[in-house]
Amino acid sequence: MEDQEIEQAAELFLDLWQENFRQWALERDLLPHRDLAALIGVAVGVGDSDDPAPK
Amino acid sequence: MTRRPSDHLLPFSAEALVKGPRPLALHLANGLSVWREAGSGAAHLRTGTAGWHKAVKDPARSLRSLVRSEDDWRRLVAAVRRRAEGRSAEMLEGINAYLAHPYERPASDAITALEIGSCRLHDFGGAGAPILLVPSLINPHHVLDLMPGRSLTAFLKAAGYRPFLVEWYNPGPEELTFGVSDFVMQRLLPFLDHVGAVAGAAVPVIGYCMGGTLTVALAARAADRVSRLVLVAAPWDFATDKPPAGRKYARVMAETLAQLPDDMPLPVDAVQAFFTSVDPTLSDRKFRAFGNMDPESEAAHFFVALERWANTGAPLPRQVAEDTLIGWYRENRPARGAWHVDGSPVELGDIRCPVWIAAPEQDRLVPQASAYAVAAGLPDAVCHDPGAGHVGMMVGSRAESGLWQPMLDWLRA
Repeated sequence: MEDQEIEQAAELFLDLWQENFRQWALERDLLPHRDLAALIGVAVGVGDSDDPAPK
Repeated sequence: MTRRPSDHLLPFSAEALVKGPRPLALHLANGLSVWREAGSGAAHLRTGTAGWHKAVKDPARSLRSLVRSEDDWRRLVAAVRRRAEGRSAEMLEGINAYLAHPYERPASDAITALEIGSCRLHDFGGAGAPILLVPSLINPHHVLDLMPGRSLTAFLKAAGYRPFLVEWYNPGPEELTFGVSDFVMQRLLPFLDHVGAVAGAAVPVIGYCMGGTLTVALAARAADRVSRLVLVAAPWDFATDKPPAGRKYARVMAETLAQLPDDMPLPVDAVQAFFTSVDPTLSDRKFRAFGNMDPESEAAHFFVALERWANTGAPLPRQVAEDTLIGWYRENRPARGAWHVDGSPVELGDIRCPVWIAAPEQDRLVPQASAYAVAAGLPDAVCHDPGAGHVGMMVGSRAESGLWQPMLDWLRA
């Protein structure tokens, strides 16, 4: 990939990355920091579940 | 040791100086933790989309498919880390710019018409027909008179009304002992009677958010003194399919209340933490956007005005917290006909005036269905969707066309 493509992909990733947690908050109505931290943990590969936030 | 209500006053007055966002540590933790881990998230994307919400899984997979070589992944992760650090810095710069912004809210033209305890009735004057405006108990009243061009009271005055606005968000020693019923009977009712005496007749009443729910009780208890009732995003049914944000945490909040010292009110930061949980990414996005605004622009002034309003709060009296968190959110007393005000249930059948209910579909704090539910007990009520969010409908760019003007048309009809 060209440098410019890498930079564009990085920007896109960051937008998706943040939107991911906004979507979880939308679905769950509320997303306290504890749940946000748990979701981040899964998305970086240190969590133990695909869907750790409380129902 | 049992604390007297007055013991709580000193720290609370200091809290009023905080410009927010509050609780600051929570806003920073939410925003910065997302960016701090973004590089690791990019590296992990290579192995799959665990933890990704279904709404963004496909775009994430598409992005992954574009990155093919080992070197591309290494460079992407490095670029994500660098840019994430940049976004963190932008958020902090935005918060700093907000805190340093010189905006001061313009002095109000209103005079204090009546003061009871720590609550005030503001009279905006003029020769028009008196109308009573009732905001939420949680945030300051001036969301209904935020700034020029973004003021429902100014709009109503220009349309020929004489607005009277209730200020009751900052409880004094007496109000700290109040429950919801006390606020209705010992504050709202005398204010209504004052406005009615000025008018020499029953008057229209506008209630916003929690203030709207309280005006339902007011209109039931003083049916002969309310000529028309406007309810704006006023929650009523707390057990709809999409309940008001917070219902599922009502049990936790109730347990939190039980841990507090006797009669200690619910701290303002506990209330603000609840709002933060509605969207933990919001502070980052809005403060980064603010950092890129011209600080002299109307948009920047509006941002600061609204943010300071949202971050100005006071502790919720203990009994009010219990009445709402337990009685409303957990037990759904209003919609079950089991909400007691002045010793007896609030019956919608006691309301005799026309009622107009405004509730946006996109309101995340008070779902439309919760607000519209009151219409089930008010056969002639008119429902209206203002087409904006919970606060945006009141002060946003579409407030006049989406809420104020339709409200005025109904009041005049």
